[in-house]
Amino acid sequence: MRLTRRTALAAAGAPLALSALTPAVRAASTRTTLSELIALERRLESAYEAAARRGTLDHGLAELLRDHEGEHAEGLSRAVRARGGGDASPRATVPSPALNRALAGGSRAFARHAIELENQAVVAYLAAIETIREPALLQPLGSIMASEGQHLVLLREAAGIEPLSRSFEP
Amino acid sequence: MPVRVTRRGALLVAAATLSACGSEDPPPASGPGPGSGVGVLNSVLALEHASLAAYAAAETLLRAPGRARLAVVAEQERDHVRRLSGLISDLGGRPVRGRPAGEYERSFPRLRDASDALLLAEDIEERQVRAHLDALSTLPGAELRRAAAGLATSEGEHLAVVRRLRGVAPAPQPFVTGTS
Repeated sequence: MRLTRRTALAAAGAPLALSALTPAVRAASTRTTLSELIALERRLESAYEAAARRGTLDHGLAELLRDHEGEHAEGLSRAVRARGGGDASPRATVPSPALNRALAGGSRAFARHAIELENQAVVAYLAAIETIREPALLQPLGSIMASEGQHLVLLREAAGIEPLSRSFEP
Repeated sequence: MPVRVTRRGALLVAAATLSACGSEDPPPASGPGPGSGVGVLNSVLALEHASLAAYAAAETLLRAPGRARLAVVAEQERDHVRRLSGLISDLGGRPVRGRPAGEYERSFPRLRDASDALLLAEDIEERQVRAHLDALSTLPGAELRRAAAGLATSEGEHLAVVRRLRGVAPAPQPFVTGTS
């Protein structure tokens, strides 16, 4: 059976803290969590690539955000490999129906869609930070979260809404 | 000759302000012990108090709409103060108090115009990002780590807004560490 965060927790008797798991199970759980984050980053990267290619969003902004998400994914991939994992989650090539609708709706529609994707990523990072205990990983994860926060500011500007809409993310 | 604000100078001021915050408060006779996270949270809270004083000083030098934007940032910093104070109280600690505005202002560099004000604001935000990320790696417990990460994200947003007001790239790096 493939080990996932869910099965690891169930096997250990959730809500048992991950700190109580064996090092091997904890490392596998960390790799799984990081791989899930990589998948989210690749989804964002693909969305911004599509927006840049179609000219839906300001070209410079779309390329900047695409490049940032790619850097996030590469950094996370290095962390997975350093913990014994393999390469994971190539960039998605088939746009989702929701992305296609957003791309067809123009700059503001795409920005609103991207805000949803960024918010999902922030929620996922918060969940990861709750379960991952490695100090060496926590700061990089936090710095990526702060980067996603900056993306939210730029996207809210593009969507024509208040860039600082919340005191806490999410 | 008046001293111009420089990045290094502003950071030194922020550091001095942080180290001075709450230093005259007597240590609590009892309460949470080492490793509870209260000390780390109080250090971050002291910086949040200093940031409020910095924004109060900076806002007066800006015109609309930049002034209104900084007011939003300051209001969110007040939310951060309330959040951190609540976390510290929940742990059985005593939240460090802010000092009178004049005490902070005496330690700030001379702010002559909007450019000086925004440079100070950028330095304060970078320092806050760094402080929250440092806290993230040392705080015990999932809830405290979650709070630190959320606050670091909010400060990252503030940093982008302040940099936009300064007329420089708001999000130049894929990893926001507060050390640019």
